Amino acid sequence: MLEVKNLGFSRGRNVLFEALNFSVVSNSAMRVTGSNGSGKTTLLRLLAGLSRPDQGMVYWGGESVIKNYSDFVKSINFIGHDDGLKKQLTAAENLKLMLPLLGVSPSNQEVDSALDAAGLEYVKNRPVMHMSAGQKRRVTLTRLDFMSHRALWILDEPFTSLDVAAISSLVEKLKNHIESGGLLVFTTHQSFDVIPQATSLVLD
Amino acid sequence: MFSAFLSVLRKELLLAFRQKTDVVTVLFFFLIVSSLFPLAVGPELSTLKIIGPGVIWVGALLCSLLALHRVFESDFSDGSLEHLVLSGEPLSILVIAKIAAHWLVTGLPVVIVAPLIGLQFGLPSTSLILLVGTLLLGTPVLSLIGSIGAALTLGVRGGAALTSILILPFYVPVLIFGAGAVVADLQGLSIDGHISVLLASLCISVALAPLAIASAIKIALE
Amino acid sequence: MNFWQYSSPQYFYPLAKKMAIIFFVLACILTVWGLYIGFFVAPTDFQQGESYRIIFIHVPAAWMSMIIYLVMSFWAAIGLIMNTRLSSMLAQALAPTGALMTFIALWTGAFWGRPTWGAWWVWDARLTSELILLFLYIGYMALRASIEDPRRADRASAILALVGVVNVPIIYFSVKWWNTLHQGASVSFTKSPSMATSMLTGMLVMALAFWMYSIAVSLVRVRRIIRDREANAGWLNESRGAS
Repeated sequence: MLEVKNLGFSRGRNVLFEALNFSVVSNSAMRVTGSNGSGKTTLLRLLAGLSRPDQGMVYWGGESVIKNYSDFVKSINFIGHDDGLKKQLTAAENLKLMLPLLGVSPSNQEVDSALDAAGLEYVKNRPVMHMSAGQKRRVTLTRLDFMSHRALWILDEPFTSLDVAAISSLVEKLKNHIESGGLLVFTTHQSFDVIPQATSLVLD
Repeated sequence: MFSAFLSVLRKELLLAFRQKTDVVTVLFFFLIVSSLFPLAVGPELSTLKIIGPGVIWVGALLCSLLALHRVFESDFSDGSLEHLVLSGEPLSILVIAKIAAHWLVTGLPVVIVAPLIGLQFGLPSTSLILLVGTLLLGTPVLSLIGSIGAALTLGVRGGAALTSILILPFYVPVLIFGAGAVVADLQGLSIDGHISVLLASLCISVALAPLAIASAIKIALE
Repeated sequence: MNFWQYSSPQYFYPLAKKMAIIFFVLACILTVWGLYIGFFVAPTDFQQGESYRIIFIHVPAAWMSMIIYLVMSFWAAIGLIMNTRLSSMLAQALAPTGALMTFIALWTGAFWGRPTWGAWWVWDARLTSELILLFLYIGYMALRASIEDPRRADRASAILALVGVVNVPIIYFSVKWWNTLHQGASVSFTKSPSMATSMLTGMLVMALAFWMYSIAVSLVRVRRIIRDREANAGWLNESRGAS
């Protein structure tokens, strides 16, 4: 269970949020919404332990995520705003060099077939700089296939720049994850409820 | 941990291979800067011989600064620096992989080219060997210390110039003992002390600099 | 009344004002006293004549430049480890005074060097180390100034200050080595052992005056930093009338 107790964070003089309390349990999802600059990305980075809160703490299984960071990080899947793709390398090279760092070492074949399944068959061996924003997003999202066993998925704007087909396949993946006992926290600008069972957290 | 270390190292080397111009630029900078000194000072070999070791060391130092700004900057802007933290591995170890790769593609070429420039300054062959030796010990220290500055100025406006201001004072000991060893040897003095100090600074900076860099990176990511 | 409450900017703010006034008054008294000893009581040096009298400014400034760097790094480290805002603010407030002291030490050193060595600048080990110390202060302040988020600025500059503390002895040692290697006839500031008692008294009084001045100025500066950074806290507007 992911628990947030009395969380507070301010950037300079700007208080983003104060005394925030919520929890996300297995088999459920939470959608974070709010206007630009309301702190959605910051909240997700706090949940992933990348930033330290000014007040309060984030707990995973009852333990502070900062204190037990190297264990905590092995049970999350964080996909942030920046994709971490190197534009000089191809999609396949990027994944093959990025994934061992995140704890999985797939074979070349596995990487290739995951990219094929994401509809990137014809571009996977091109440098990433020649790809469109949507294609890059797809490359990034294939990380979920390799790390689907991790319980907590924290996704920042996962649907951005994706076309209709890619959105529905991602929604399918997310629903599967929730149904098989996972937890999901995500932000989105999408006005419709892509994941109907998700509870909603509005930041203002 | 080892596989994470290796994947960082491989990624950096592959990136450098794809962007060879970066490496070549640093080398040309080194050659050009060092060639300017004879033009400014005059062609007398006796003078050049005295200033040669110092000029080559200052050149190597400027090259290190020139290249340093890039160690973490692109990783910071494209989000791959986050992956180092999200790996859950000790950040200071992964940082060593990055700096090692950085030194291999920018520091080592400078060390290899240095004897050529030494010849232009009329240095004898024993001095050239010693020059390579001190540079081999000293340039990794420059990369390690310099990376602290690069990590502290991540995402800050005027980062490259600021890095130089922060870091140059810390380069002083390496410069003194690196260039000093070659000069002392030319004058027939013992250089054991110089070499020991260079070795000691290498050990200290390998042990301490990654810790400072890791905390600086965490601060920049927050 | 709990002593620790002063670690909160809210309680420190009014206290700093009272303390600053006391330290300013002390600084003025000690300066007048110290300068009186320096100019009228201390005897003329038989070697250097009257020009040596600049040590009453030069030596205390050089001492302060080093002490302030240590104190600044101490507070920066406390701020980094304990995450206390006031410590980081103190470190920030000390830096300009430290840089000023370093600059005064260099400047008066040059004025002293002209009649003594016949040159404005000599690559003496102490002068060179002092120059590098000035660069360290400049780096610290430049890093601080270029990071907008004050919390990040606190922590990043603290790391720089700590790296500096580790390096300052190494730098000093290597500059000294370099100096002895390159300058056979060494020129140095080493005073003759038979320094007149009145000279020593004058120097100590001036050093104390510099302490008081540095504390007072830093307190005033820390108040300004608190005002800037806590502008959205309610207590500041309430207490503005009172203090």
